[in-house]
Amino acid sequence: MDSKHDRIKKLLSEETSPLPPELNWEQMEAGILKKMEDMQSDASLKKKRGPIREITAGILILLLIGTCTFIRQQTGKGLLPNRKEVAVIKENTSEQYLLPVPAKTIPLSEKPQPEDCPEETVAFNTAYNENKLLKTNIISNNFKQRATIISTISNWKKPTTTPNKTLVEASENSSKKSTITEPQAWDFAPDIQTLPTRTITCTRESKSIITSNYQNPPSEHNTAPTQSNSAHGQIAILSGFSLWNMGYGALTPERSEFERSIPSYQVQINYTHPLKKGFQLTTGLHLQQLNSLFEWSTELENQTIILQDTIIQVQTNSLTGHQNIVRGDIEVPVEATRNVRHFNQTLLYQIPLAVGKSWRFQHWQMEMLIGGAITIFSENKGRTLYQSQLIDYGGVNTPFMNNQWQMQAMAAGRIGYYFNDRLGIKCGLQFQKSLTDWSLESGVSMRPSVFGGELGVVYFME
Amino acid sequence: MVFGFHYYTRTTKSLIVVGASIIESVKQGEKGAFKLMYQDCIAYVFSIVRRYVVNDSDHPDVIQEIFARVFLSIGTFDTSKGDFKFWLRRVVINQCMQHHRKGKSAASLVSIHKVSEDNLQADDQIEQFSKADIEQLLNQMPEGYRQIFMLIIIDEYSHQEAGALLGISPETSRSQLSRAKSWLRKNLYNNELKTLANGL
Repeated sequence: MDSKHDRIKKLLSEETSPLPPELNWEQMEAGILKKMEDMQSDASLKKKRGPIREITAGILILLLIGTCTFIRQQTGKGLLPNRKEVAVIKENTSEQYLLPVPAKTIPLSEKPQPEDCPEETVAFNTAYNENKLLKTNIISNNFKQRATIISTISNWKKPTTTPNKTLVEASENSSKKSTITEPQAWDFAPDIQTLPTRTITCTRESKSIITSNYQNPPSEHNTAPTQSNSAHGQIAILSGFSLWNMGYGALTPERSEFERSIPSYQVQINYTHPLKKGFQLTTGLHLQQLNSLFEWSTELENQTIILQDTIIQVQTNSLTGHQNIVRGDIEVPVEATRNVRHFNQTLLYQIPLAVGKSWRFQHWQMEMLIGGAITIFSENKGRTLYQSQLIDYGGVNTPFMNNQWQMQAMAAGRIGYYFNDRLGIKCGLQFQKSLTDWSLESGVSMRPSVFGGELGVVYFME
Repeated sequence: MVFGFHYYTRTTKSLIVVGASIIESVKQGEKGAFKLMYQDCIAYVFSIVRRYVVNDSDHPDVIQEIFARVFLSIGTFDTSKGDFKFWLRRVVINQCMQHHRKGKSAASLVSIHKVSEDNLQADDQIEQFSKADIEQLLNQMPEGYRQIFMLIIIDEYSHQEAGALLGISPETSRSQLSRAKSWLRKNLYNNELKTLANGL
């Protein structure tokens, strides 16, 4: 078979076929040149459209991810899955027996029912109901109060006499000392100190079942996020203030004397992709407005004002004492200044790309980011003093600076608080320094620095 | 005396001489050099094009596209590193495949059909076939078979490369080649029978 293929190959490799006459250069030249032009125009069109397409695609992807996350959150926010409660219970280091039945959430306002615990706990609950050992109203969400109660109970001493059933009366501020009765609360004190955090659990010994009754019920909103969500991507929408320094170089132009930064705002939507070992990659779209105030004043020479209907003379009759007031307009020279006060506004659309590291402490997460941002579009509007003339400008470029397609180095630090596995808030500070020169003037450099604060919400994705 | 690179095909009939000075001139966009390069390369280019593009009326259009692409992208060819003929062949084949993609669906894979494997005696008569016979036979070959056959057997592409070019997996490429060989065996056998029949 190989010999056959070799033969075919040999035959086909020979370039002995006569060329058709229509393939001579004279007839082909025009067609080739035309196709070259077409290809060049196609290539330039693709080149122009390339960044726009990429940016559009990026935004669409972000929007899609955001929408999916939102929909999932909306459809999945009914019941908490049991795994969350198990995860919480695992955090507890006390020697407690986790019930073989799914943990049940009981609102604070309700008393636990016997069916909340298995048989071995029913006895205690019965005792609880009958003896009114501790009133429900002493149960507090407040850990401080709980600590106070615990402290109070720890200090209890065994009474010498046992009066009738009494109640542990504890007011909300726990300042009131309790009266001790049976069943003996000091038996419970050590167990109270080892209370689990949030879920209903029961120990095997009935006397320590008290743990389950005094805890905050687990709820979707106060469940600490599990560690697993740190391995998921997250979308954050942040906004805040921004301040900037124009960063003029050594040859400061005259306008820097009249311009100063005023606080403005920034909005950003970020997607953070988790990497290994707490590292993460962040990108998104960042809208940043940089405002500055232009204040300029100059002395105006030969300025006068006209005082209308002004008393210019008072005529007094010396015989009768009658006074005749003469009014008229007079022109008075004045010292005048012209004050110009104008807001300059620069709007930057940036795509940031940063790597970061995050650390998680239960509900809290801290992250540090470092990277860069490229300005894909800018819009300027304002007035400046340029070469001794006031110039109004607007659009992408100004006569003296170009801030589109500029690169910025970026560093940020953020702290987040997570309500649950899905939702959290985040705040932080961000600093940007332009790596490229915005200035279009020779001999003048302009590398602005931007400092901003941000606050917003963050969604964890599935 | 021409200073430059001389590229030869396996047969001495197909000498391609493209001087380095011509390549440099084309890189500079000199139209006179376009003509020289075209005249040096057209025979080689045409021999490849007619293998991949069956329809004769398409040849001028495809060749125009090929040379437009060559003239525009010759800046990427480094005379000190590469073989011009190899580079040119790649451009030609890529452009032929692009032509197929534009004109119709991508390399149409031929549906699986049973091809007899036992007509191997045709191999013995292969020497009797002329180039025209082979070309005619290959022109009758289904599109997908022919492209794979040309790429792998004639132009020595790997299955990986051929698959990437045609947008199919290497496994599919192997399978198509196997069927193309079977098809060829069968049709060589049939042609041989016809030859014998005509000789009676």
